[in-house]
Amino acid sequence: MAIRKRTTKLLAKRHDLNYFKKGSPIRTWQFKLALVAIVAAVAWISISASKSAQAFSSGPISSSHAVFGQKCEACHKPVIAGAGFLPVGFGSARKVPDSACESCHTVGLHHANQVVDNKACSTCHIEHVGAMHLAAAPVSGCTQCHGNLEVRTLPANIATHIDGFTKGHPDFRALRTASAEVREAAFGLKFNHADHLKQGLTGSPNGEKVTLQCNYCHQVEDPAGRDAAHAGRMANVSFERSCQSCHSLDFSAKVKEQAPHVEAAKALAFVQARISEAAPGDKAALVKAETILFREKCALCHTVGNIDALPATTITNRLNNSGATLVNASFSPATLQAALDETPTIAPSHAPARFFTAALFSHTAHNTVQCEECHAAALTSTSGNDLLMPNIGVCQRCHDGQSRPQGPALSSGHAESGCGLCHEYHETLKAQLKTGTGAPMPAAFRIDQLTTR
Amino acid sequence: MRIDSTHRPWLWFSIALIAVSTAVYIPYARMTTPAGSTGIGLTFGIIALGFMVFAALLSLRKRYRIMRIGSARVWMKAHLWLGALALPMVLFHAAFHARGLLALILMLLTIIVVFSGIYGAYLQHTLPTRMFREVPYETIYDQIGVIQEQLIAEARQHATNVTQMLAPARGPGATVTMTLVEVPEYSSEVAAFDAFFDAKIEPFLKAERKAALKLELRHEEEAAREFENYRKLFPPAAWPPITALEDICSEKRQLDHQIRLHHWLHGWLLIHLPVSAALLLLAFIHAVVALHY
Repeated sequence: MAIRKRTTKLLAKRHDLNYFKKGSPIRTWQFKLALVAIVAAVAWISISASKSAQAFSSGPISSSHAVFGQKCEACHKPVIAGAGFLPVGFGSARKVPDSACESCHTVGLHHANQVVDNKACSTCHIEHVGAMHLAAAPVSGCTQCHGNLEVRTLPANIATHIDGFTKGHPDFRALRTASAEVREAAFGLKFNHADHLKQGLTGSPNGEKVTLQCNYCHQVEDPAGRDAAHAGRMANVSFERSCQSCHSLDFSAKVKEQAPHVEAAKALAFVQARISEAAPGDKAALVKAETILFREKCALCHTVGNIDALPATTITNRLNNSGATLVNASFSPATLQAALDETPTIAPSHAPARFFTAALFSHTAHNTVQCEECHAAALTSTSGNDLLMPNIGVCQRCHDGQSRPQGPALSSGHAESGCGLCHEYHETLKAQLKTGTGAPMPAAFRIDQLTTR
Repeated sequence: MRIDSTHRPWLWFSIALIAVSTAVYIPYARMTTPAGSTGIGLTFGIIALGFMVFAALLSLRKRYRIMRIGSARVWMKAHLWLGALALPMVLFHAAFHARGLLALILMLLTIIVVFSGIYGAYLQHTLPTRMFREVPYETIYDQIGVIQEQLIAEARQHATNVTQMLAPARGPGATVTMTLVEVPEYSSEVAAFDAFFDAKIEPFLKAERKAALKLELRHEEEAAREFENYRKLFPPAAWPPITALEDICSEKRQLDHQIRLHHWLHGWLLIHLPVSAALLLLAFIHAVVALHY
């Protein structure tokens, strides 16, 4: 028989009814620890604040502004001057006005036709998000207007609904607008890329067969990137550097020198001077030299005017590569005089240095890509007037809109697609394009300067 | 608090809030560089701070119980769910980055508070049932010391009863008549039982929980075996006080177990509460500084 009885009454009697007045040890510890945590937080804040404002920073500043270090006041200005001592909410708030940016950065309007005011710098250039390129503004900064563009007067060929590089961005303007006439004016050369890219070309000075690579002729002008207008730009092809080794400008076996690759009048004067020295009074030799130079050499690539006066049919053999022999030909006095009376002309080439009208493109940044991956048409191009810049679809294969400026790194194959990668918001880029900033480089001639003439 | 079907509206509310927040955040993050200072980022921050403040109000509600603003259950549920939702709101606010030392500390404190709270909710969901099952002699936690004193006194009484019952001639109630009655001699067994009480029972009853862990009577089977041995030694008349002593040891064992469970049940608050206090203070400082700059 159990002698311990556990009735409710007996159990209740066991308790000290004033127990709740004593306080629970756990609650006491909770209170003590909470107090310690608050004191520790206050102490840490106080110590941190006395040393620097780093602890309160909303994030590391960009590398380009790292020079300011702890000087928050360099950018964060009191809304009301001299009110910095006031409590928060009484005019002491410190914001970043545009004037703080403009004290170092000179920026202009975005576009003369813009109908909205420039937004605050910090709208697009978001600071305190790490050491990234601050100029790489978010796409939304552009698409908020270009997604539904409103301008006072809409220029031709301007897309008005662009939501990103892969969303509504039109093909490059040169491809859309460059007519055959413009291309003829721009290039003015008879050049066959397909022939030159064949394997085992003959005609080299040493007689060996050669296979040309793209970079034999096309080289980046400013690989080091001296300024934004020239960095990574492909230089114009130089005749002397890339062509002359195979296509010499020899014009007479009697003259060892080659004609200079200059305007027609100057080249003609050079030929006349040299022939008059080598064969004084020999009109036939002069006509032969002019014919070889203009009909056989210049006309190979250029459109030569007044060429019909030269006795093309009388020249039966070309100057061979060694320049040793020239088959004699006979001219009538009338033919000779007619040939000498006419001065050949050569239409100048306006080979553009830039094909993008409002964007920058760097070949250097793409040097891991094979040329033909983008310029595939060059392999089959037979006309010098072919515009061989790739269309936007080629770019979008990598710049596919998946990776955004200042965004997280994505897996390979998704190159950044932000507007700022090619375009600049401010007018400074256009100024650079027009004038060229890296002396002694001249301004880069753009293809659109032909279309707007 | 048990997490039961009455929490279902809160669960749906939480899912809906996270879904809406995600639906807002993804296009926002794709359009721009998400940060706490942008309009959407600031909104998430205000919501997160609001949830934190509301969660902190529970302590005031508990302290001033006389203020009947909603039932305690509703407050507890709101504390639980809104407090947990503060973490995703903070993550959306900070764009899943902790930029700056204060922001990093706030993020860590939020994570600690929320996860300690979830752990606490799990314990409060499971331990009361376990307590009910494993501690039938459960009492008010703060009364355990008082009960323990009473158990010691009660045990002494039962031990004396055993001794008196088996050695009446030598006990305090001995009479001449009783000494003439022929009773078996249990002097050696009684001495052994006295020694058992002095060496094992009383120290076990007096011992604090941690000290009791080293004593033999902590093990129920071992204790049962010991008490059974003494019952075998003594006549049935002595069994009830021996059984009572065994029961007292069992109650002491349960009270120790209750202390352990109680420490589990409330110990997490030693982290949750202080860290919450620091979090709230630093969050306010963060908000003020952020608005200032």
